[in-house]
Amino acid sequence: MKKKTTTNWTVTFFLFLFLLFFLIVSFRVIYIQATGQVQGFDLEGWATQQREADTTIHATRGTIVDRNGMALAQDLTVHRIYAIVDEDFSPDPEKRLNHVADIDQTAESLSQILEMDTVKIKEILIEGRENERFQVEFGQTGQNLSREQKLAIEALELPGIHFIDEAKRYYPNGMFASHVIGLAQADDTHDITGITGIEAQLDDQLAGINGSITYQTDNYNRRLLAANEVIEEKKDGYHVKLTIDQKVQTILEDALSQVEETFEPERITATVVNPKTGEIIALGNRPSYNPNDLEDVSNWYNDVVSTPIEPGSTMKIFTLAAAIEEGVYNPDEYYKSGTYKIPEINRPVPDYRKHWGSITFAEGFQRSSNVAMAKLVWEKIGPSTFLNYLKAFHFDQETGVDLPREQAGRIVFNYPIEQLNAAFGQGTTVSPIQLIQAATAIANDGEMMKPFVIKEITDPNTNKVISNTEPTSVGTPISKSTADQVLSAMESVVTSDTGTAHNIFHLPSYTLAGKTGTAQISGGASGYLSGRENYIFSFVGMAPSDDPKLLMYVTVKQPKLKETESGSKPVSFIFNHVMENALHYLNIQPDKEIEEDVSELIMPAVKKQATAEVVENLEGHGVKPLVVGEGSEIVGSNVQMGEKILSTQTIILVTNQPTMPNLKGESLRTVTQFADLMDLDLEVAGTGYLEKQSVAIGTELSEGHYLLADFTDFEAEEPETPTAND
Amino acid sequence: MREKREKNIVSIEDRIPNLKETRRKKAKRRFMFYLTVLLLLILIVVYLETPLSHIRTIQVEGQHYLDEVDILEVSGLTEELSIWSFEKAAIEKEITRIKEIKSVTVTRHFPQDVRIEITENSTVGYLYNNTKIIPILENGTQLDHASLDSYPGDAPLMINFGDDEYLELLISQLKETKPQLVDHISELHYAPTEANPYQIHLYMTNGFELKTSIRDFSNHIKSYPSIVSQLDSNDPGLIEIGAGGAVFNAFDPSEEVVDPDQEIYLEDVETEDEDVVE
Repeated sequence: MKKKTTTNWTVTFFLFLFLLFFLIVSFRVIYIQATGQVQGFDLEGWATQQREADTTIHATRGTIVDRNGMALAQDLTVHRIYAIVDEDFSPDPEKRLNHVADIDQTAESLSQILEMDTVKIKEILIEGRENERFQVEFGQTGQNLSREQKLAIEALELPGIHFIDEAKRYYPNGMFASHVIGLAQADDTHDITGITGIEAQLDDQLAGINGSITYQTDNYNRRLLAANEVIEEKKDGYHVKLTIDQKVQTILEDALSQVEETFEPERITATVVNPKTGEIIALGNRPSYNPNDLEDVSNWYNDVVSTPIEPGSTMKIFTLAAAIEEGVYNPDEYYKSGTYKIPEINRPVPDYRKHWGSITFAEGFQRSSNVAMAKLVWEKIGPSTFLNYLKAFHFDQETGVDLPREQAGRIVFNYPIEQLNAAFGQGTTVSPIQLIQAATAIANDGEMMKPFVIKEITDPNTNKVISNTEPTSVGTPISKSTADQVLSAMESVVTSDTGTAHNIFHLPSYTLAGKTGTAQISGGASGYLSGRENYIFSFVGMAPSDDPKLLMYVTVKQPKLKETESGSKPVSFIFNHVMENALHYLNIQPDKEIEEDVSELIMPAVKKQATAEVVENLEGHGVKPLVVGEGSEIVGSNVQMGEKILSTQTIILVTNQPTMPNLKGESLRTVTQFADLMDLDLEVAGTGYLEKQSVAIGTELSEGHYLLADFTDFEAEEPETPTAND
Repeated sequence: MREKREKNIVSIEDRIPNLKETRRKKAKRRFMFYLTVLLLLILIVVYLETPLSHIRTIQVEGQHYLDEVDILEVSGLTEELSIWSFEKAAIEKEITRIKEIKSVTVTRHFPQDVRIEITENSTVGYLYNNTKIIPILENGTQLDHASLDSYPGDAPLMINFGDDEYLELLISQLKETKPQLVDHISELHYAPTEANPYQIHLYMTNGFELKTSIRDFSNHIKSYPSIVSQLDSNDPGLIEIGAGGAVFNAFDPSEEVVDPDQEIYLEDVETEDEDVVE
């Protein structure tokens, strides 16, 4: 009995053990059945893969177009070449060759079309055959082949040579708003993915969804009769329409390239916006890159939105706006320029290298006086109120422009010196796009418009508009009347003789309001960089000035300047060129009449007329005649009566008591005409403008009087001239 | 017959004396008429055959570079010729072949004068070739034979030009330019650069210098007066006019070398109480 019990216990033990194992295995089976996974491996997927064939249909990536529908980035079909080297692929070589049999000849033929050595092609083919590969490709050279290349190779009828069609992102304009549009490239799976700019920002919407065809196959990968085919339609990516104008952007890019070549600046940014809506019409940076042909890209950043700078004097327009809005600005009030010292600061705020004595605030703004601005902030507006204005102009926050990697600047306003510096744009940093947004308030009757670049997104599959950006007002920091006053002050910077932009920034057909800026560059702990070129030269301008249609901001950092060149030269080159042409292109009516300044008139009768009357008459038409002598009556002129003349022409009037005038600086032609009129015995040396005359000013002149006119200056390269006389 | 009639028949004249008288008068008148015609013919022949019909004076007007004798020679007119012996149109055509001539009209002035009024091609400039000054006409003709020793000042002086396509293009552009605009130009220097073989450097009569391109020159120069009128003529400079627009740079760089609004700190640049932002 005892023995039996023992046996039973052993049996029971083994039974339980067996049951336990059985349970564990059962649970595992049930678990695999239920989840379809073994150690994370998808069995179900694998099984399906075993019996189904699956072909991907690549969705076309959405096209990026400009505001007028011109393509800026689009998919292009390119071809990839491959060669089948497996001999087994040609079951009956006598009848038909399906692989590359004649390597020498194939390599020879291909090398003529592909940019590749015959030897290199041969190497690849032989290596493929030796390693028993089925097919080989030709690396970078064998990719991105054009249709022409493909057709040319196909025409050779080489056995075993085939192509795969692929999509490639193509940018028709090359280096063109590259930091806005960005870059998209094909990855290993030949899907195109956005890397920077709008391409990255809107990658989800541009990419679309790949489709596929799935059907069941047998063990030999042959399609089953009842294949259970599933077609998943592809969905092409959305089209994106930008606010960029292809023409204006092209004008801008050309100007930037020219300046980059001539002045080799460290950085350039230039942005054109419509201040009424905030639309970015053109935006360019240097250094830039050509997305079709990436070489060394030294700058991936879109500096306009990503790189805050100390803006310098362009900030003064906001200081002025604040003062006007507060009602504390009196343009006719005098102040002492030069330096400004308050007890709270150690070092006085200086005007640049010179002072103009006691001048009005209006003139101070034109001359870009730091003292005027510091005084306005400290004594009139008050630092804390001024800080509120800086915040009202959103200098303390990002603009929210629809471009990636925006980086706002920082208001530095803790100590009195910082508060004064902020008045003229030092210390405090802003990104160009922040400054542009703030400036829209001045150009747009006080209403600040948020800049944007994505105008519309449409679904090409349904032709439905997915989203459409409406202009957004982000605040009204100043009133319309303040905006108007600031505009006219900015206009005087361009038009007034004392203005810093006078004769430098100028549009032939449009009135212009603007402000120059020359900002120091912080060199980190060691303070600001010194040296004539170590500045960021900038200009913010709006035209036409009474109702600005375009607003443009240009910054040029550290250009290489010749001794005689000023830092505003590269800036003005870009600004004048782009603004004038963009306004013309946008069909903005020129508000500056050419006839306004130059009048065309018929030369009146002058002979035997009273000198005073003739001069007055001509000057009334804007002519500045060269009057010879003090006589009361005119006896001769270089222009005949009745001839058509322009007011800018040089008119010589000879009186009945001719004396030698000061001819210094007159042209060879004018001097010759003068001598001819007076019947002088003229001898000429050199060309250009008169340097020295042999007859003293005021000498009475008579026929045949000898006059030596010396035009030679230090430029020796001028050719020797007509030395002679009549 | 006649005798017989006289005998037998009384003549009607005898019977009607008045009638006879009338007939005689008529005959006389006819005779006078024929005689006049004859005399006139004789006179005409005499006029045409004697020096009376020959040209007495030939007036040539409007020439500047051309010599009267040369024009006369081309016209083929001499004082031995009859004033009626030439065709005006043919002579005009002949004279127009002279490259200096733009247009010509020939008129007869009775009794013995001929007037040739010519208009020469106007001078668009003077080419200075390091020794001589050669007038250039609007049709491109270079008047080597009329070269001058001194520059007359009635058209711009062209310097550094070779005898090539650039000069040709410039002349055609000058021809399209209004004379009032050309009158602004004192000197035209050909100043090619590697980038722009069409570049020219102009010295204007009002003290400005102008850098522009021969290509589209006539259009570029159009904007010159309006640009200059906005600039201060006491502070001249170099204006560059190109396809994109115009840029002005004052000559006097003393102030412009440094920008007028550089916020540089006078003595020192280190900032102890300033938060330096990178």
